[in-house]
Amino acid sequence: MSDKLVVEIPKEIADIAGISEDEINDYNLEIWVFDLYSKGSISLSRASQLLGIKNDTFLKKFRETHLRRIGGPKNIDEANADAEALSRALNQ
Amino acid sequence: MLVIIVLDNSVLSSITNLGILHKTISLFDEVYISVSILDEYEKKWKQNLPDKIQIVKIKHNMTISPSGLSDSDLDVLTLSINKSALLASDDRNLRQLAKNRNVQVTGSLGIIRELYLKGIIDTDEYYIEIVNSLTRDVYLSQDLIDWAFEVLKSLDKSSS
Repeated sequence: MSDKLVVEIPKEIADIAGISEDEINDYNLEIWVFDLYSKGSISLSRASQLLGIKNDTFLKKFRETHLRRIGGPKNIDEANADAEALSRALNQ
Repeated sequence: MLVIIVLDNSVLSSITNLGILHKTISLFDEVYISVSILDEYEKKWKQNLPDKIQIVKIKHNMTISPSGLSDSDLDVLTLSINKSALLASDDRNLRQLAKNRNVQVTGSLGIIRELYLKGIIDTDEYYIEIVNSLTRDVYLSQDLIDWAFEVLKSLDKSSS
């Protein structure tokens, strides 16, 4: 069984994006990876790995999208836990 | 007792981008990353890494599937476990996995706040600038932004 999926999109979308048929698979993959990274579903390392590029190159490309990523503490309780863990480590 | 921290990719790149990498590592006696993390950056980026950061060759033996984490993420977690060290990560999957394994976790926001409380980020304006810069890359809810700004000394002064 193949580990790849075939995706169909209207050609018009590629034309609007200015993407050639040769570039479309790479572009499609990039969109997916940026989306998953911004949602916090994949790590920086995993995202870079999926695109076959280095972390700093990935971050440069990601910043050009003006997306933000979801990360860090989910809420104030977690933020307090982060702060307490750091404070405990520093004051042991 | 030595104060040790292990940095993952997310925090390492975040605090580097914010210009507070040297300030952060000044908090700790020992700072570690894994070889696998280092290998994921371009040569030029690696050359600017401070000497204080110790690079450890380590291989995890975890099986996590399906995973939004890479082998290097799991290497870093293994390093934290082996060193009984605090793990700094902003990646929510890695943070949860670490907590499930009783590893203490902090992140970029906690580090920034601690740098301010210790006077290493030495003005309110600088602290506000750093927190705002972080929010340009990382989505933080308004509650979390308010939490970060609760410690501002100028706010304390204006309310007294």
